[in-house]
Amino acid sequence: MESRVSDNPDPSEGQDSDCESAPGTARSEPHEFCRDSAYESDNDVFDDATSPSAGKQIDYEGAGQVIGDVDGFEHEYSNLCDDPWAPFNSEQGFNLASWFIEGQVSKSRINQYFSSGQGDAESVGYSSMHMLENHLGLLDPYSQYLQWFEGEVDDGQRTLPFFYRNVLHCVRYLLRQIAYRDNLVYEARHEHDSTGQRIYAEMHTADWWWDFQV
Amino acid sequence: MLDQMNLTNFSGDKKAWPVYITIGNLRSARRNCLGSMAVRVLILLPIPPKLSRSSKADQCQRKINADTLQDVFELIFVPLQDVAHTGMAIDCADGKVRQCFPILSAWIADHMENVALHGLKTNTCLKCEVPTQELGTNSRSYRTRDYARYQRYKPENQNSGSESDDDHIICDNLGIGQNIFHRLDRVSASDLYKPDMLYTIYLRLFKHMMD
Repeated sequence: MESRVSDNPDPSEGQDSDCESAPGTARSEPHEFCRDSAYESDNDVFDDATSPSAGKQIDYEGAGQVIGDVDGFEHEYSNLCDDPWAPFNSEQGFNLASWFIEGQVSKSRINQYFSSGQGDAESVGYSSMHMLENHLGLLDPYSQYLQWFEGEVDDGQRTLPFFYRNVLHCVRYLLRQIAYRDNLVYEARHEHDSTGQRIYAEMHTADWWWDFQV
Repeated sequence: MLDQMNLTNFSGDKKAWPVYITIGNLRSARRNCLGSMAVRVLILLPIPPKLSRSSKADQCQRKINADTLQDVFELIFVPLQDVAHTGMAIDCADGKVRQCFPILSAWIADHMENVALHGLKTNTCLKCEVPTQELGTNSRSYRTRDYARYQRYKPENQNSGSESDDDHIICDNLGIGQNIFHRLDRVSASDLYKPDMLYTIYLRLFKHMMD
C-alpha cells in the first residue's frame, strides 16, 4: 500500500499531575456502558503484561488535567456572544444562507438572485456567491483540522484511491468546539443513587474510564 | 480521552465505506441529538470488487484485499501510537488546555466487518474464546480473547517454544489473521467491540418478542 500524501500529527509533550474524580449526584439514566461480568477474563490468563486488561495497570499521568489557557479564547468567546450571527450582518442573512445551502441552490441562481435586485445585500451581509463562500469559510474557524488527505492502494489488479483525515486532528476539532462547552466531561466519576447503589449512565460513569484515568 | 468509531457499509449505485469518529467526552444526549455534528467522517475506505467464493483466484484476491485494508488502518492509526504513552496538550471548549491521552475505546461495526478487521472466522466471538458450538448458550465464562497472544503465534513473529500447544490449537482452529488494532499498545481489541444498540439489541429483541 502506498500513500501519496501523508501528514505529520503534532502531539505535544505533556506535563504531569493528578486529576480529581469524585462521586457525583445521583442520576436515573438507563444503563449504557455497564460491563458484562460474563465477559470478564477468568484466572486462566497466561501473561499479565500482554493480557487484555494490561492497559488498566498503566498510569496516565496528568490525564485530563488543566495545564494552561487557550490563547485568545476570551476574545473569541466574547465575540461569539456579542455578535452571534457573524460573519453575517443579521439573523436574516444567516437564515438566507442556510436556505441556499440546504436547498442546494446553484451558484448561478444565487448570483442571479442578487443581480436581479431581490436580495438586500445591506441587511444580509453578502451580495454574491463569492462573498457567501467567504462567509461560510469563516463560520468554522477550526476547519483546518478536518483537512482531507488522499492515499492509494494497489490490490494487484488496479490502483484505488482512498481519503482520510488525521485522527488526532479530528479529536482536537471536536474538543475545541465551544458549542459543546457545557456537555464535555474530562474526568471519570462514580455516581450513586440515594441508596448508595452505583449508577452507570454516561461513559465517564462506568469502569473503563475510571480504571484508566484514576 | 476517548475515541469512538462506527463502521458502516453503504451499498447501491454510489458506494461509500466510511469510518466515523467521535469522542467519549461528549455526553451522549448531545452527541446523539440531531445536528450535533459530533460524529465526523474519518476515512472513506477503498471498496474492493465483489468476489465469488469458489474461484481460487478470487480467494487469493480476497486475502490481498484484507491485507490492503489492514495497511490502510495501520496508516490511520499511526498518530495514536505515541500519544497513548506521551499524551498531548489539547485546547478544550472551555478555554483550557488539557493533557490528553486519546485512546481508542470502542468500535461499532456489524459482525462481518468486525471479524474481518479482527482477523477471525465468521462463526467466532470477538470478546471471548467460547467454542462455536456453545455460542449463545451462556453455559459458562470463557477466557477473554488475547489478540496480542495470537499475534505472537503468527509464523513471522514466532519464537521457538514461546507458545504452548494449547495456543497452537486455538489459533489453528480460528485461522487467526491480522488484527488491525495490534499496533495500538494501550488498546485491548477484545474490549473494543460494543453492540450496536439499534440493530443488535433493539431489533433482535423486537424480533424475538414477535416470534
